Amino acid sequence: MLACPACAQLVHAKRLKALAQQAQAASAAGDSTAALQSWREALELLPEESKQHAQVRATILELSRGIDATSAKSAPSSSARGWWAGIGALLLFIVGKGKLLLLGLTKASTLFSMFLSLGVYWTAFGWKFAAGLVLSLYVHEMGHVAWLRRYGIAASAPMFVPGLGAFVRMGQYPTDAREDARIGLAGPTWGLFAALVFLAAGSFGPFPSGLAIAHVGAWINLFNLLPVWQLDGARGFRALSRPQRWFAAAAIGLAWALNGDGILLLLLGVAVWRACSKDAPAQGDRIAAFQYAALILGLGQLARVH
Amino acid sequence: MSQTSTLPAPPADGVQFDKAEFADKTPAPACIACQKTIDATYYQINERVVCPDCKEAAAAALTGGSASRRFLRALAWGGLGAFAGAAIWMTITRITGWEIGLVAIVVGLLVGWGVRKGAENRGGWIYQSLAIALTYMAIVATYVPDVHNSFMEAQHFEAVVDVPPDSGAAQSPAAADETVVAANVAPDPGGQEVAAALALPLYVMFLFAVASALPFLALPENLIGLLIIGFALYEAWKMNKRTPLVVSGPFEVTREDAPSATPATPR
Repeated sequence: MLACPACAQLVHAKRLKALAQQAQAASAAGDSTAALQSWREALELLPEESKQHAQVRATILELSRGIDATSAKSAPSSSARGWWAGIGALLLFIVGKGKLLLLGLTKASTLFSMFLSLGVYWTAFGWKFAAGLVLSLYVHEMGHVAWLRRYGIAASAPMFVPGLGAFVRMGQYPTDAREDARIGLAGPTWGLFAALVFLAAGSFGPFPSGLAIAHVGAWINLFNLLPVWQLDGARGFRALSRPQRWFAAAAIGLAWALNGDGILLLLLGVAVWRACSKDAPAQGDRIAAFQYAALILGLGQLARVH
Repeated sequence: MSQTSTLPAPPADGVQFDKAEFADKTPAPACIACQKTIDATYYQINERVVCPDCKEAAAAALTGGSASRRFLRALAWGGLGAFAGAAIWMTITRITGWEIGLVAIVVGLLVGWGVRKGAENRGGWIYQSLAIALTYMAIVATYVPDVHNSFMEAQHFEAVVDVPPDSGAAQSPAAADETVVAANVAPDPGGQEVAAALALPLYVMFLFAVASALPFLALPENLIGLLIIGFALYEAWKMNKRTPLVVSGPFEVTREDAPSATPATPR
């Protein structure tokens, strides 16, 4: 119970005031992620039907859309400052992501569960493949972590479960379908890049197992794009309007025509079912639709590698 | 990692956090079970608001009823869940060629949900054991066609190996005699039908027994496969845990405009 049914006194009034102060200080300092963290915690302490809940939710959405807009502006553009600026921005981007990937390994729960998984996969596939597989899963999960942190959503460190994969447990719900889609599709997006790195290492470097890891990594990410249950694909599909869902299904159909893998047939069946369902929003998220389709085509092609 | 930018003044800045404000009036609490508005007395079960009728119903559900009937219902619903789970598991395994841990969890959830529904949310070790048994059977049942195919292939292989190279060309007199003897001692057609009728269920049971042992027989290579089955069993087990009901109340609702709550008077 968050408010007294008799006098409407907020049970967590003291904490709410402290969080509002923290959020305002963060906003004044221009740190929208920190502001979002405080407002999200405050939202959990307010009754859903209250005006305060609606006001705080609106603030969160405004801040979160501001972050999306800032990300879009800071993306490297070829026309603005030429190729060198683009390459510099790309390097900064890679260094930033690399730093996050290393930071993630400082969590004991991640590291220990990672080694446990490595041991189990080692017994079945040998150490090279096992290490590559665990690394692919780790990069996928850190994709989710990067966007969760950006939106100020509380979440656990990645945890590995041998035989199952890995997961990140969210402490708070995304505020709208757009946020959910960005977080959900970030995993397969980072997973796609990991598969590309292994493909390059297998094709041009002294690491033949890289091809097998690229294939399995791409396949696992494709499976995660199934638009059902709590899988990443379902998070992406939540933000898609009905025509966008058909567009995504068409992309899957095209990938299947090129690849012929059974997983794409399964994806197609589920996507068509979701496109026919009535839960699609009237206004869809165009970025999520294109991201989903690009992931399907990219991962579908990578899954052909053997 | 944090995102910095010039931010607009957040609209929540001027919000007060002393009292909750509602659009019309302070909404009356509603029963979590029947959704009816509570105007006078309410209880809390595991910190959730319920009306007196639903509190009585929850208490009765944990004490009354026939145990054997409830078990049979749990078996029927759990069996239905197991059938659906096995169908999903088999379809995905056949289409993709992979056994996937997340799909195993779905099988466990389906069976666990079925048993819980049939057991009227009772939970407890009996229903937990039933749920894991049905989940295990749902998964190993999908191995039965492969076990059968393996036996057929092995039988065919043995037949090919046993046939002498010249068996089709000429039969030795001794072999011909054996055929005659075999024909003379063959059982009557009625007995053959009974044997055939008994043989099929026995053969299926045998296949099922082999399929049940298969995840363990394939160790240590099948460690991951065994872990995947373990996830399914854990979900089915977890869903049928007995949840203790902590009931508090009654509480009186007395609101400023209509009902307003007064301190609880425990009964």
